[in-house]
Amino acid sequence: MNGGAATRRGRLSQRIAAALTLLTLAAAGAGWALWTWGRSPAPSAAPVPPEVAAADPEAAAGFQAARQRVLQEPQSAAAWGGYGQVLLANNCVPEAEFCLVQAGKLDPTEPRWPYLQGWALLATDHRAALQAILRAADLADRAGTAATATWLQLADVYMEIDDRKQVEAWAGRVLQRDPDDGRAHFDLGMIAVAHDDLDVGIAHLLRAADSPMVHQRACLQLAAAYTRQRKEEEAAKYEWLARQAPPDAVWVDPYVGELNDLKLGREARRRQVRALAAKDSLEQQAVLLKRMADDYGDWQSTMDLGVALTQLKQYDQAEAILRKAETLAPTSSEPSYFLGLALFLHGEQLQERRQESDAREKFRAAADALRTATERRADYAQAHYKLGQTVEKLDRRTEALEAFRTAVRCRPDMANFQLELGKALAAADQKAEAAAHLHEAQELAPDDPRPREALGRLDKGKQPD
Amino acid sequence: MIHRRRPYLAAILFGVSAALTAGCRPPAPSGPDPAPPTADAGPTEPEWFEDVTDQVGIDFHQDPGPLGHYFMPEIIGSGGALFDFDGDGLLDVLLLQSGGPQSGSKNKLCKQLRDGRFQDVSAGSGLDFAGWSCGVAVGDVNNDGWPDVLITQYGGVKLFLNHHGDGTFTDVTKEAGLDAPGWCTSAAFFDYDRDGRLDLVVVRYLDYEPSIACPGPGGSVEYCNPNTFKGLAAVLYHNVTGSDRRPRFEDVTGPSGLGRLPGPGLGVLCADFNGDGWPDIFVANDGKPNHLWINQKNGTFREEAVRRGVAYNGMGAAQAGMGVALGDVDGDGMEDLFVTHLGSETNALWMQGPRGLFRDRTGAAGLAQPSWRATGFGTALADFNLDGALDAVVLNGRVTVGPTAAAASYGLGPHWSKYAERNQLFTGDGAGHFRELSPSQSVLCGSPNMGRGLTVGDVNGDGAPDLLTTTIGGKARLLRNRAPNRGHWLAVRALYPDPDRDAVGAVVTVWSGDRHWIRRADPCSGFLCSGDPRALFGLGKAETVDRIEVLWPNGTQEQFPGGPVDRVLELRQTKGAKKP
Repeated sequence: MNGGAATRRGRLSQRIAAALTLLTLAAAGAGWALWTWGRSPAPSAAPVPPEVAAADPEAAAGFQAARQRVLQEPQSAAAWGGYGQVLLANNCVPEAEFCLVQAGKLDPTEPRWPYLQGWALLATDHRAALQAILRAADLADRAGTAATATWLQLADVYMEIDDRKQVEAWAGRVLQRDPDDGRAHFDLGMIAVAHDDLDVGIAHLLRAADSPMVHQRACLQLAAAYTRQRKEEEAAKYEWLARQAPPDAVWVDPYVGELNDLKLGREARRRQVRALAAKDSLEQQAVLLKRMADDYGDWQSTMDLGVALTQLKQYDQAEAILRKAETLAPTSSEPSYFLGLALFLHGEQLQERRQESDAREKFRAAADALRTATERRADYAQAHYKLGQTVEKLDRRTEALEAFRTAVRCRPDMANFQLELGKALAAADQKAEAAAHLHEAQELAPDDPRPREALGRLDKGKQPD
Repeated sequence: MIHRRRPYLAAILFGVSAALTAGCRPPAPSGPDPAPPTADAGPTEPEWFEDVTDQVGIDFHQDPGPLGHYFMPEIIGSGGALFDFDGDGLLDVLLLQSGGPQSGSKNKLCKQLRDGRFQDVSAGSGLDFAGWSCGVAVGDVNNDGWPDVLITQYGGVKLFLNHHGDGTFTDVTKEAGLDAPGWCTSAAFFDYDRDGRLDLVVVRYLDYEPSIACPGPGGSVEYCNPNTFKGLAAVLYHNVTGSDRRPRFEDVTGPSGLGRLPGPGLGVLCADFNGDGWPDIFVANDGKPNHLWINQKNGTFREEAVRRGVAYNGMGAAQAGMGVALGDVDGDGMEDLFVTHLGSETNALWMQGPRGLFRDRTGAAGLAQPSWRATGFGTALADFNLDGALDAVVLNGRVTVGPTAAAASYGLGPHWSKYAERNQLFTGDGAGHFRELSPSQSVLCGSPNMGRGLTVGDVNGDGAPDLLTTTIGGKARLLRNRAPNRGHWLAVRALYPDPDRDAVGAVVTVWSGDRHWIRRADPCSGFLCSGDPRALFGLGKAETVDRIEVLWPNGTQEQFPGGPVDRVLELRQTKGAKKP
């Protein structure tokens, strides 16, 4: 009898305990939901993007789509971070910062968010930027991932405030991973030189010079460091090497590099156009520019299409498009210049085909367009230069000489301008002045044989080419 | 039984604690996170300057032209000058307008009266014209004893001959042979061939096409980045004025070598950078390596900024060079170079040592982490509190839209409020270190502005350098020096005699006990402006001057006797004892 009651009491207790447990677990779950909800801002706090619908509807749509994701997933770090990245890619920095901070709160393990926040803050708040990038480095460490870009960024930030110890610490970490990292060697070299440790600095800069990413910069700094050591020959050597070197290869910070693909609207399209130009994909470039001209209808897009068609030697089409650009921008010198250029090149093509009369007609039209360009902007050196070449084709040598003179006066640093002026002066029998300009052309472009050849003909009393 | 209850007990305990603590986290703020606190700027300092603009009757509002087109000259601004045009010993004021030829906003010339007030004498002066005026350089181009005025423009230069101080100036640009095309910014008179006649360097900015629109944040329109256009080379003119005193210049840009390297140039200073007694030319280029043209003593110049350490900053990067100042900040007898840059960069202090070589010491000098970052333009190294150590002042204002707009209460209008920033002031210790005073200086640094031209001069004759500032779309201000605990001073005017005219570029060294100070007598203010042609010295506690040495622009050196402090001294060439 007693055992049965005890069993029933026991079962009741168990049921009560189970019920209580379920209740408290539910309460815990509710508490967790409340805590999570408290961590993320209200979706309506997602920054409103700039008002660009009228000027760039594509950009407006891109902003809206990114914002919409936040509204739909307010607790998603990826949504907030993605919107932040879009805003940052399109130079909406304060709005981007807000989103990146929220993303960092929702996913406190992802180094990308504090890194980008710090990168954005570098321009305005160095201290806060440093804290954010340090946080990113710390998160990367905890995740066991190498964060070379972050370490290099920290080395740069500390270099700006002349903290040698920190520069060495962060650049040192990079070298532990990759002993040949040129950027790290460059930073170590620069900070050593800044502290008068020239031998150490030069050693690092020599290593840096082996890297295509910092070769030119390293050579320039070696020239300065060797000058400090009074080693004039070495200084001259590295200065020469720097001048011969191509520009340093662009190093893409991985996190920042992601932003390049997030540009919106007109800027995104312009970026695509530049990428195609870099690959010499002229036809694809023209297709893209045609779409832009159709979509935007502004003079710049129209003119860019005309320029692309000129490069494709589709001169008739180019002329029509560039004339349209001229009417869209009646005060700008640019469409008139490029129209003149297209007509000039068309004229040269016709000359090659021995269609002399048609060629001269094109040259006359080119001269008119280029004159318009110089009237709209009196110091447009390139237009004066091209006008000079054009009227030379029409045997108007006095006018050509004046045009070349103006071009050189505006831009004395242009070797071609000095060369053409020199040749025009030689043709006008103004030998002394011709020689001066030909020598200048030679100085400006020592690898170009034409000034030397022109000087040779001048010396021999021959007519210039 | 107890054993079997433990899991439930644990779950209950967990659940209760979770539920209790869940509500404690405050909701996330709905706006951007608050900015981190700014660094402690030290104890509060009394004001060093007092705005006396209204009190002295200077009424000038800069007109940048019609807004909305993002025309680049708007964002560069225009400068001004402190110079004594009428020879009465008092500094007068010239302020430039940049609203365009159709604007009706004309440059203003104000004469200082004996009571310290200024009288508008623009009408009929010849300097009162509307245009896109940019910078000004002052110098006596025909050695008649009267300072002449060169105004640079978006679209060339204009030279005005001073008509014997009667308040009228004649435009002699054409007959003088000055025909600099393009966008001209800062300019400086200096005697590069040491023949006693002032030559002229004009720095040019960009091969600019105004119709090109550049993108801003989110696809809006913004002022173009200078990288959008090609830079222009500086122009050098050799003064060949004869005994008839009719100004004439020859364009020697090509033969001199300056034409070979384009800018884009904004700031310029001429001084002997390598200690050989011949003046060189430093050009601050915007976004490109700076140029240091070393005088080869034969009419040509060689560019040596890379080798001498002033082309790039200490990180090997070219910066946006705007304002330029030169001064011996560490008392080693060699002048150091200070250039202002964008807010995303630091302003750079290159310290000279050994002679002719420079190193970026911005961080070590305490200038890399100011209370706020800003885009600097006009700047000066001057001893404002006369303690014997040079101080630094920077006028600020952005070139692209900022993250937050200045409050409407500052009266900048909806456009410029997005670009305005606060100026900065740093006090030097004479050993190459600076301490920031900006947060405590409400007159100079309290209100955001579009700071551009900065000119230094002792306007009221009390020995302490005052400031004349210009701003885009705002008032020009005359800030009278009120620095506390001032030391002793000396103002030295270095003159060529017969007739008396400023020996521009003379280097003056003052000795007192075991201390000495060097200053240049040079009105060029580095960015768009021209200032006091005298060498202004703060002498700290020194109560007498033992001797003064002058290195004249033609290379000769003379020594003059010392004497009491706290006075203005005029030293004439050939009146001192020649130094070998």
